[in-house]
Amino acid sequence: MLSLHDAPATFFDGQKASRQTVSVSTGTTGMDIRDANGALIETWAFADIRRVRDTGSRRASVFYLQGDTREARVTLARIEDTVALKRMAPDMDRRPSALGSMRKIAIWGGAAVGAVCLMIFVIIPGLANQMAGMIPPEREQGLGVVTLNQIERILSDGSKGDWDCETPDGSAALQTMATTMLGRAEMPYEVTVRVVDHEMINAFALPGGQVVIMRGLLDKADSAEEVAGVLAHEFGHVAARDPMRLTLRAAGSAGILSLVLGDATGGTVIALAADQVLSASHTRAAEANADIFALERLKEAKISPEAFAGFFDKLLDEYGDTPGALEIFASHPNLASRASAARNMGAFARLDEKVLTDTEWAALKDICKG
Amino acid sequence: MSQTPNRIAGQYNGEKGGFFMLTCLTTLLTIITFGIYRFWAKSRIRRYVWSATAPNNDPMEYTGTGTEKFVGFLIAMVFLAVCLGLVQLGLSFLGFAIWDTIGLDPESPEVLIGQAISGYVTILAILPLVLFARYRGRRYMLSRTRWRGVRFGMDKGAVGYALRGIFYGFLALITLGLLTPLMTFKLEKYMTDRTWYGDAQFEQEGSWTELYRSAIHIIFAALALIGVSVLAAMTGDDAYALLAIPAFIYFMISFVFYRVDSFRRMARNKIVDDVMGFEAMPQTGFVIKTYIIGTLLTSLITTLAVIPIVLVVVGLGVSGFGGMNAADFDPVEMMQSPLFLVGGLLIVLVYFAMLALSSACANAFIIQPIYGHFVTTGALLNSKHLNEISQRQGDSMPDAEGFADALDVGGAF
Repeated sequence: MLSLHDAPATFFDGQKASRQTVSVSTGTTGMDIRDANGALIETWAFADIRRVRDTGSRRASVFYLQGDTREARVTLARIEDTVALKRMAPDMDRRPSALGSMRKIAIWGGAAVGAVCLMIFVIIPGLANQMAGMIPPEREQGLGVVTLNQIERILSDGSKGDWDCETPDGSAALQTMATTMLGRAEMPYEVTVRVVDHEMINAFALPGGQVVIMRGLLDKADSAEEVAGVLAHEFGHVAARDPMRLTLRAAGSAGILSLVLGDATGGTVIALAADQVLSASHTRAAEANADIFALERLKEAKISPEAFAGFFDKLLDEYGDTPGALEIFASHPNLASRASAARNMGAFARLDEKVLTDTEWAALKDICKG
Repeated sequence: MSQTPNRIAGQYNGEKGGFFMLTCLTTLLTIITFGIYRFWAKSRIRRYVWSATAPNNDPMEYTGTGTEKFVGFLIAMVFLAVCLGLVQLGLSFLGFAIWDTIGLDPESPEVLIGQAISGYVTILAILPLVLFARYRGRRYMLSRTRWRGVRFGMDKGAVGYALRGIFYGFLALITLGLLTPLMTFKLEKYMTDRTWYGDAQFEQEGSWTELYRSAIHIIFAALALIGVSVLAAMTGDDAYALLAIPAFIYFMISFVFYRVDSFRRMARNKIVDDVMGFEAMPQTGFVIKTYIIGTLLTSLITTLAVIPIVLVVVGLGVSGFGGMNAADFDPVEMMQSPLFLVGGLLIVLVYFAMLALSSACANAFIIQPIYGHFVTTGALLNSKHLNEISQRQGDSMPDAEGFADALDVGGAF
């Protein structure tokens, strides 16, 4: 069949909810729609006839006229009539140009990305810094205690024993080192330093001015100055209230990230990765600042930064550096560049003070054997 | 002009095959575009379901587009990024500043309760937004729905809905759920009374107390559960503890009954233009049966489809590494081998395919049949009045249902 002749159809004029049974015939340029008495209602030009997509009926098809503000509809009940009409109106399944909508997407996409970036990189960090200063020190210390208990539980296989290392001589040496490295630096609250019995080569600062050194770090260090450098670095975090600021910042950013990538299927992986990149970039800046702080402390105490640099070399030997592309995932700056920064600092000064006597250093190294 | 009958029965023409293919395709596209296609996917699925809903052989039509929804999502994102970021930050600050954890063990009840409370506070803080999003989502959906060439529509009122939702939700909470029917009814009435078909307004009649008939099984089931627990505790007899299982199943069924029966009662009490009414006779048994059979079919089909792929992956692994001694086994070398990469990629692909397949199965075997059941057991009464109804102005809503999409609010479609 090459044309339609009085095919049964339904017509809705887009003005009233009443339905008209009509018949449809194809002419030379358009489709004539006639009422039950054969009177012509209107003619639709073939070029402008469009079919509604994704319909749930395999037989009936619904048509509209492109650019028709009344939005009238014609339903052809028989599939063969639609096939015949398709021959006359081959453009019926053509989609409207996406240019206008692309512009809208670009504008609002830009606005959305801008709002998210503004929040994550400007407003939330700013507010987090302000708020960190408003939290009472004793609350922050409480948070630090809870966090340390949790860390102990995780690292010592669930049991919460007594992993604090204390010996009279070792603790005294630790205190001497801490006092020297604090020097005249201003701290927001009292700082406490402790050594815990764990083989990990690590040290960290917790909310409320608690600095923790792990036994592995003492074992790995060849001189007291290496430990002093690490300690000064952790004091840098305390001075900047980094643990509290970064916790608040992460809480704010997490809310936004889960919104952006939330319910997308498979989006969880991206959300995790994005969160990692984001918090790493926050902490990398904080680490770099803590390094600067540490180098200043070392300079003031007249201790050579060479030992600090040497410790980075040791870590580099032990673990290797994060390869270039993965660096955005790393929470610490590149080890090699940290070592060279420390050496540059020491190059112009003759600094050779000792932070501890040999006996004190030996006592500190044995602090967990008490 | 053709005859419009004075009672139009609901009719649903959707087919399992067509709907399955559509949902499978759109879910796959959603996965490989990292979720961006979901706006277009939802629009296409609605277009299908709406057009398959054809009372008196006149299909409904959904005119919303994916682009419109995506732009709406971006608009909502601008507002929500600011709102949610501040809420999260403020809440965690309050948590740290007020909640006293000094010297407490991290697993002590005080700390655990504190964590639970802070979780609920976060939900409470975004509840107004969720309610706001739900109303605007319904308004958008109705404004893009047409039947017999005439649009549906809804008046503005999302803020009022959010306020009422919080108020009635609070009442239901402090009465341990006893005033839930009040909340269900009042919120549905708020929406219905603002709903239009062309220039004809909907109205919700009836009374909230009627919904206690729908809730009766929940009350019985709750009493049964409490009774069984008390008996088990008092006698220490394990036989009573076993009775908790049927009591719990009854409890679950009673919730489905509440949803179905409250829908039925409220639908029967809706009128349009003071003239047209509705019949509604959905069966709880049908819903539960469809759900159980659909879930079984979905897991069966998904599992069967995966078996051959898993066999291929295992075969690759055995042929690649089978000849090696355990002593030669080098994890680094293994991770660098191309076979390992291919295997990893295959596993990811299988995972995505399974997601798409199970989503398509659930849509075709559970959601569509239940929706179809609600449509076909309903009818429009005094439908001759349709001929008197005129078109209404379109409602542009640039934010579409962006808030609902961003907050993941919304029903099956």
